[in-house]
Amino acid sequence: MARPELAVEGENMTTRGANPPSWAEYLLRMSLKPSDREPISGDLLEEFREVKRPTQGALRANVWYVNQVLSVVSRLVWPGVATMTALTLLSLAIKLPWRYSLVQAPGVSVLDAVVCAWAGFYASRRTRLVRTGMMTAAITGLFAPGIFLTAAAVRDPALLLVPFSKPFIFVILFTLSLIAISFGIVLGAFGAALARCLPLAGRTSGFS
Amino acid sequence: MADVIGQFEQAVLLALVRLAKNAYGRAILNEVQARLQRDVSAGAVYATLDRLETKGFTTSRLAPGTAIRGGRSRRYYALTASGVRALNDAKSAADMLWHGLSWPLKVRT
Repeated sequence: MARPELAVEGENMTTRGANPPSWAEYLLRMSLKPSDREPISGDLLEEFREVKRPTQGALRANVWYVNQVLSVVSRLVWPGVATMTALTLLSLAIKLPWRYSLVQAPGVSVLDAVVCAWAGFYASRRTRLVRTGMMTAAITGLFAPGIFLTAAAVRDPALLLVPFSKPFIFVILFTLSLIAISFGIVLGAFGAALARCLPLAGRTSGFS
Repeated sequence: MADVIGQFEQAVLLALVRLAKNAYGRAILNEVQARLQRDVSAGAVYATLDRLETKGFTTSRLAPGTAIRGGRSRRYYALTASGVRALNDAKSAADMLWHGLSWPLKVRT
């Protein structure tokens, strides 16, 4: 197997092969507050170019980079996801009235709306980016039907086999996920826009 | 007594002590991994650095980047007096817990 060429500082570093996946880099910068975008993305790029790529090859270096990016993104997303998980499980256990929604689909209730808007607000507050708020709320929103369906499967494990006997259920599950994601994006945009309108209080740092 | 700091926070603060003037994100990440002898995610280290700065245990400053990092700036960290006190408190608390016991402990059968 051919060894990857050693990264050389200077002109060669700007070549496509010495760069991590651009989508991952975009996701990383999107998940950081403005004052952290340069130093943190620079640190990971430096490690990628100086150590990972020359010693591990392109594929493993890319996997390492994506893992690091996901570790950063997860810090931004987990408060929303944890809140959504806790409140969804609580509402299933004690039948909270705010579980009601206008349409018969998981992930679009008043409760889900509040959590998604808050997730969008939280993420946008830290990164000062509306699109990050929308992304965070979409991920959070996707967890609502996920938890709902998981809870249903725990109560009745036979449900897990139903999609295999009726494959059309996969289409329904996909549609339900799309509805929840869209709902999350809209509410996340609302929360993020609200966060952008409010002035920042105190120090603007705060790793996300 | 200063705020109680966890083991991971101690690892990060001690990395700042060891790295002295070279304590920037990537170097801290590598130092923590080497000392803890396990893979540590960048997200965990940066979140901890931010938390420690919020608590007043560290300060940071930006410095120009190099070509290998695409010219992106580096953030250098340094311990504050509170950070040093927190580390000293953590060490004396651990010493107090172990006081009078011989190490390593023997398994009783």
